[in-house]
Amino acid sequence: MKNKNQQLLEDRKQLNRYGYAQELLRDMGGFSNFAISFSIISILTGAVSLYGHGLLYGGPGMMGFGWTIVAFFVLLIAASLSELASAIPTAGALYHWAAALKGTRIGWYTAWINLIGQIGIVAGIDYSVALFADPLLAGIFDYSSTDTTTLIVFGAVLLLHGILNHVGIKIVAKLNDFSAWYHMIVVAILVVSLAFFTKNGLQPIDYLFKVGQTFSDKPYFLAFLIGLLQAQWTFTGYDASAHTIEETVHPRVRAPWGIFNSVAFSFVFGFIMLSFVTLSIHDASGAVNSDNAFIYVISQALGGTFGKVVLWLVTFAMFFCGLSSITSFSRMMYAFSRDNGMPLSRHWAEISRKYRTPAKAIWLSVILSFVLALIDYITKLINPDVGYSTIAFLTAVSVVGLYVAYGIPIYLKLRAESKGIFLPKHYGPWSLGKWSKPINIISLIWIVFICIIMVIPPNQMAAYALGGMFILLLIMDFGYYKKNFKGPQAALEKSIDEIRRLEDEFEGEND
Amino acid sequence: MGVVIGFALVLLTLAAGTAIGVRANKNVRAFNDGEHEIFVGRDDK
Repeated sequence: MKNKNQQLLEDRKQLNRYGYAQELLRDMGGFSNFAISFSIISILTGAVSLYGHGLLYGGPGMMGFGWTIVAFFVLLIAASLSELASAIPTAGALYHWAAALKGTRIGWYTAWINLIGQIGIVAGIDYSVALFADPLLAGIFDYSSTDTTTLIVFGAVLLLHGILNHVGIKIVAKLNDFSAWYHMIVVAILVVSLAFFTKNGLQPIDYLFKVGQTFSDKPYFLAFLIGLLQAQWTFTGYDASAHTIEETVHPRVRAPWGIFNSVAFSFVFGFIMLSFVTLSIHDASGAVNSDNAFIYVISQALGGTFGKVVLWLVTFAMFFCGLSSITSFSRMMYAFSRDNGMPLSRHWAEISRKYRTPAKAIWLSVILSFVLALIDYITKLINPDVGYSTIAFLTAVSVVGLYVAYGIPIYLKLRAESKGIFLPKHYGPWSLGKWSKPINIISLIWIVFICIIMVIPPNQMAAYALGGMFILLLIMDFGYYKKNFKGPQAALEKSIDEIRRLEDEFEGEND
Repeated sequence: MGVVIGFALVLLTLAAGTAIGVRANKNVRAFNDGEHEIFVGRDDK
């Protein structure tokens, strides 16, 4: 058993073999690594903010069946990604895995698709905070909540997240740890409140698995598939454990467990929470027709004041989720930029000497996320009858972007294995042995399926946005990066002396 | 009927998660660094 210093030395040596210096502060333990993904999955964000979407399309059965079906397949995807994190432990994660398994160009596309998904997830999460916080604040400060006030609250939340991420990984890591406990405690409070204090009693258990009822104009089967966005969006962002791998001690074991356990625990806690919330519904059509179905259900079940307290607790959980998601996004951008994959890479790869965080990448994450929501806001100003919700648009963009980025390295690993490039000796400690291949294949089938489902009407706007972004990527690739992007392989040319010199600079700054 | 299928699905998901976790844990414990190489996408320096 190694002590912490020996482990840190070994982790640094492993990172050096990829040609990278230990620039970020490696201080996260296993729980912190798990906590960041658990906080980003945040059952109190995804499952709650899209509760109305799930109920509208799939009825109450969406919470029993939809959540479980999605969780089953996501567990397999998480296991597939965990193996890769254990084998190639760098912050670039999906992008670096794809580049190592096939080549730099596919790595470059993976990185950008991942970045697009990350923009969607940060925007979606912080927009959810604003959707909940704005009406609550409107009640306190006596103003009317509108799309404009929601956008302003959204901007303020992003700004606060940017500042907290900028000033330090230690603060953010502590808040992430707190956030994981906070999520579990709030779910417990919610469940106990609904179990014992609901005004109208709970529905019989059959209600949770009631299928065939949709409040949309679509046939039930199709409506159910569209409703899966609720669960599928909730289960995103767990690649954060891999993006913070260079800040984690003993990363080849702890990061894969972080990915896998965050999904597993989210399934269990999410199922319990959704069960009690759904069983407390007595007016489902009123809920789907309200501005926010979750707020409606909780207010009906628990009454005004108690309901408001619960809603504030949920809003804070969403706030923590957004905080973690910017950490993950900025690390991914930092890793990609140190390989010169983005315009002005030099800036985004810069680490603040004072705080040892990728400060400029953090602020770019904030700006890009705001711009995505702003585009949607302007679109709706021009055409108020667009027929989709902002939150559904942002979440569909993130689901497709992230899951395509998850799928590419899983496919490339299968391909590299069949070509004899990736061998059993290349697996890390966290591996699945003979189960790996079937689990990878099932994961890929689900990813293809879910990406199609997420962009069919009424979410076609997400398909247009993603299509537009992809065209832009093609132009950038053929215009410049095809010839000039060297990928993570270029770092392998760095001498060990050069790497040590860089590490000494950072250690000198922090002495 | 829906309840039975629903809870069967929940149990299946829990069983799948547990089985994967147990298998991965077994491999973590049996891992011998000397028999493995870091994959960098090309021959090590």
